[in-house]
Amino acid sequence: MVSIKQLQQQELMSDQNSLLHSVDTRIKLIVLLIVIFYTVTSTDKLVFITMEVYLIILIIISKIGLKDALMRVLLILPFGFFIAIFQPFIQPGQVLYALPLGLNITLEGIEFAALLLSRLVVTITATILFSFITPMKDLAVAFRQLHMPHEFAMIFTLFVRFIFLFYDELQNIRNAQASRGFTFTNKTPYLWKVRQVGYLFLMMFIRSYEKGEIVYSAMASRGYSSHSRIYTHKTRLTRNSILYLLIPVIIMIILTLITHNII
Amino acid sequence: MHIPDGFISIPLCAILYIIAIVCIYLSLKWSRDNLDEKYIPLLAVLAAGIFAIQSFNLPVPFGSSGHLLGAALVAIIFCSPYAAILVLTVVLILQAIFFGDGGITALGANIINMGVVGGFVGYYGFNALKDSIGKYPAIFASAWAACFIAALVAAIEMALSGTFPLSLGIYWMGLFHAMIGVIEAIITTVIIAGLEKVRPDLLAWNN
Repeated sequence: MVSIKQLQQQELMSDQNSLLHSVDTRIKLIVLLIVIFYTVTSTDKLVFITMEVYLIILIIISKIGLKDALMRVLLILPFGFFIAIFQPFIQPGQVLYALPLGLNITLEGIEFAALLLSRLVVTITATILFSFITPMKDLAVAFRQLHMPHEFAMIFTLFVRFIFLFYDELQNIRNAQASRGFTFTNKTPYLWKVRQVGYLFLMMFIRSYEKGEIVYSAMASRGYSSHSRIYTHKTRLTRNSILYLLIPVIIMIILTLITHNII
Repeated sequence: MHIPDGFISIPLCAILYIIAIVCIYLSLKWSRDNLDEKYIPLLAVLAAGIFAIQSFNLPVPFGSSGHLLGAALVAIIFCSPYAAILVLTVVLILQAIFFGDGGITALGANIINMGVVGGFVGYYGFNALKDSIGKYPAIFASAWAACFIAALVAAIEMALSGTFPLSLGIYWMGLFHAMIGVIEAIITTVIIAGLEKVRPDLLAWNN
């Protein structure tokens, strides 16, 4: 679930100029994937601490505001936190504390919870960094440059263009409902309120479908057909982009050598 | 229900990614074979609408809240689970990459749970029940089942990865999504009943 505030914040943050904002989106995407894959396959604390520090340094360099980024990380944590918090009670192992009702806190459970949370914090920080330095439309271009299937790249390109419009429409309808006194806290029956929300979604659905038909007509009148391809210009990688890729790769190689006691 | 990174083992992630990619390929093939050239803008804009609808969090009893998944809705409207897979895939990719809502390594799992399971249970559940219990009760039941079964599959995936025991996962995820599923079911039924009144041409079963 993405709130309108999150969406606006993402758009605001990603539409800035900094050393990292100018990095090629393909490289940013590849680095994001590598960092996340490396983190979730790792079990070493040194890896988590180093990667988190590296990502925080990147957040500071990108001038997106460390406080904003960390607040977003905290907002995303709850579901994973909920799963992790149970681990000390459900993982079998050496019992550290015996609690009433047959509950035990195990050492292995605490270690596994710490592992899950560490992975979660690093992967979410990497995602937030990517999100705050990459406009959504650039990702659609990157998908095309990375030779994603044509239909899929096309759907994604149009999809990101219309998200903001529908958030605005949804907000307008909700404001109109609120101006008539509709809230979830008043004393009208719950099912009636859910039905009103159903009507709101029905309106949204019809609007999005009709907008889709209008968009198709507009595209068709300009020569669009199922064989059409969106033009994607070729761009050369800058020195910034190459460094953005090389530095984390070198860090990960060094960390792997250290954690495997090779150096 | 969005599984984050690190909560599913890498071998299972890989298997689920492969299954998800096959399902996405089949969805693209279905749309090429069954829809005309307008399907690309239509599905794209529809996905944007569903993405916005998902931002609306509804309070449910016992102090929790949930939002519409939309897989059963899209599958029933288009009379195909493949439409739901396509729409949910683009929505889930954006949620994972930009908003950390579901992990990137767990993206295959999330596409399978919400898009594939949600779409197939939604559509085939509706198809199996409509003649015996009627059209709208069938929509209600299949939309509820799509949400509920998707949550159970997520619990099974986490149990297979050793993240959460199966019995506890099934119990808690099942209990929570049984409630969320009622909201999903009511809203899906209201939307389809409304479409039948104002734009019956949008429902594939009328064409």
